[in-house]
Amino acid sequence: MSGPRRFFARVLLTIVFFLIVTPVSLLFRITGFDPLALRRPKSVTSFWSERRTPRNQPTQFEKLS
Amino acid sequence: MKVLGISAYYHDAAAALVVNGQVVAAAQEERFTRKKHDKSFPIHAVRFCLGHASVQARQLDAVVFYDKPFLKFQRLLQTHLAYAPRGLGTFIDAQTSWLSDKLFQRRELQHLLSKHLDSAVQWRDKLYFSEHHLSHAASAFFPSPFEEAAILTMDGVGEWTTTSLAIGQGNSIDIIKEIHFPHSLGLLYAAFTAYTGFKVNSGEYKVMGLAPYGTPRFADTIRKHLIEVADDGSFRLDMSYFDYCAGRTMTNAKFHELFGFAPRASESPLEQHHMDLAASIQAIIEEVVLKLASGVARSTEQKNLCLAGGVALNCVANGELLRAHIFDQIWIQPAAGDAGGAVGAALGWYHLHAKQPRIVVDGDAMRGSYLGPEYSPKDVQRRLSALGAVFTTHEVDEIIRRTANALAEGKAIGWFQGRMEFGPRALGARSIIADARSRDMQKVLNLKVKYRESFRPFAPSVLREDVSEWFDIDTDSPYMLLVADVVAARQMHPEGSGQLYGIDLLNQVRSEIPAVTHVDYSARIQTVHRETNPRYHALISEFKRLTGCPVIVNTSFNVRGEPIIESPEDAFRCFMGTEIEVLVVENCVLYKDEQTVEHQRYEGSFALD
Repeated sequence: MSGPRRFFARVLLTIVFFLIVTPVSLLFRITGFDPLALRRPKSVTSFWSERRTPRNQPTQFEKLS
Repeated sequence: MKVLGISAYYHDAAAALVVNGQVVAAAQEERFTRKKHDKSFPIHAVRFCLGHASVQARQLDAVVFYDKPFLKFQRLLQTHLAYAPRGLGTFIDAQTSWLSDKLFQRRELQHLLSKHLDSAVQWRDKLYFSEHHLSHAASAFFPSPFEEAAILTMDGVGEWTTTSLAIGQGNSIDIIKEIHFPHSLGLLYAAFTAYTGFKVNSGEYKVMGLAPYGTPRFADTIRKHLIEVADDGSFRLDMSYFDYCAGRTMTNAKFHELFGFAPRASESPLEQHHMDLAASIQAIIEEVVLKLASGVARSTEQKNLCLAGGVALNCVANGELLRAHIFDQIWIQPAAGDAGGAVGAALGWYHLHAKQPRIVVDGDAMRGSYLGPEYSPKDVQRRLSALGAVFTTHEVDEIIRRTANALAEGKAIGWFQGRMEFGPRALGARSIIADARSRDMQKVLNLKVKYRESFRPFAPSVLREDVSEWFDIDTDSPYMLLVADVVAARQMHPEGSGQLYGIDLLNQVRSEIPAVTHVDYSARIQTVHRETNPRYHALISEFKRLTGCPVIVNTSFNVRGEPIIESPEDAFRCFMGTEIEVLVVENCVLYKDEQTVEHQRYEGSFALD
């Protein structure tokens, strides 16, 4: 990215950060959503999580996500 | 079927080519661009792989990228969502980088493949994406000698996963459980790597090498505050001590207060507490890896274990795992780091997507990891002549005889033979070798040949058939991924050594092979096999005939901060710029004192790692 475009992008991202990311973050906290498992779960015997996505789909190599 | 695997854009870009289920070529991009840990699209490595196997780009059935960019993007976004309003700076950095290229990785890869390889091919139809830890798991299981095994992958982080457990059976891999970012053994070790003043993603090896100089007096602190480990070995980190999610550093003030020291500035003197910190984190990693493995053994009832991911390069922990006999057999992918993801992506697609059968190979299917470029004797002579090198050429027997004699005379030798190694270690194809019996060889090699820190240990190459007579181990360790002690009968216990601590231990002779004996009597072993590297095996056999000792020093052919050499030109440049005395390239022998071209000082031409 060139100089002026880079500057513009940074300004835009700063706005996005405070107007979107931060409020959503506060919402996460209020609702107790904890995607990074930062809070210690109560009375667990294992920190493994079962694999969420179905296993060995034929399409698993075709997607970017 | 021809499948190209690609690993790129984070660290250690690499390419690997799988033809009908066999890994026929693989190389890291850094070797060609001469930029250590080069992460750019590995076009040189791709060209090498295709050229080596005489495969045209349009003949490829698939090009498989080793991870899933969207999942990674999602993780970055969610991390910032969890931390905002903290983390503005890293948010902007990450987003500008993603919005400008990484988000459009499919398009970018198609564009690069068209531009560099063949613009007539519809790359969109051939481009596939594996998952980071599936790539690691595939690289650990498919080339292994096991029909069935548990697969444990551990690294810093892929998309979300930092640790995964899978079951491999025949040509299938089933991922069962995962541990997710930010809870990561790789990142925990990286935090201590940064805290003790080394570079993350390359200095982890130094922390492991430093650990035996210290005592693990901080291990309890780490257990109590930083990591909680469940009975099955799964773990979580207390993130209030770390700053790697939304900040620019690995650790924060709370972490520094916990241990009572400021982070060590890079290249500043190493003190005892740095060694104690290294010993402590190393002890914790060993403890968790063992506990994880025990949990895996219990829950899967498998007899064999395959390992990959950066943490599997911790050969000290691997050695402990081996001796704990939790599993009957262990196999570790030699390119356990991200470079190996290229092999895993290609093999994963071949077996899991194309459903092709897998043939289990005795030993393993990595061919000693000699998967890189090679140069014919004629080509070598032409290239060396063009550089003005003075050399003589000989038959193989004479090459072996001369090299073994020079070794016995205590000379440091550059050894370049056959195909280059794939993965982080030099295994006797691009190595600097020397006499392991020499008292001052470790110092000489560190300071005058490799220009690196004096505390760093060197590894032995030993004939497989003799390994148990010299080291406390009797299994194959062809990839230098297992550590074991020198056998008690060959250890020496110098007087007064009990009173010495830290770096003072360094200059003591503690075995018959002091150059490869670390301060705790351990050694990172490479067993040399006639089947995979006959010439190197013949050389050590000849050295044994001369001296009675089947062990030599083997260190990578490079200086500090430089990628391992790839070509004869790289070899000659490194030879002339350091105090390597003899260079052997295929059937050419070069002696330093016979060279007429001017010495180019080499030290300082690479950024320190």
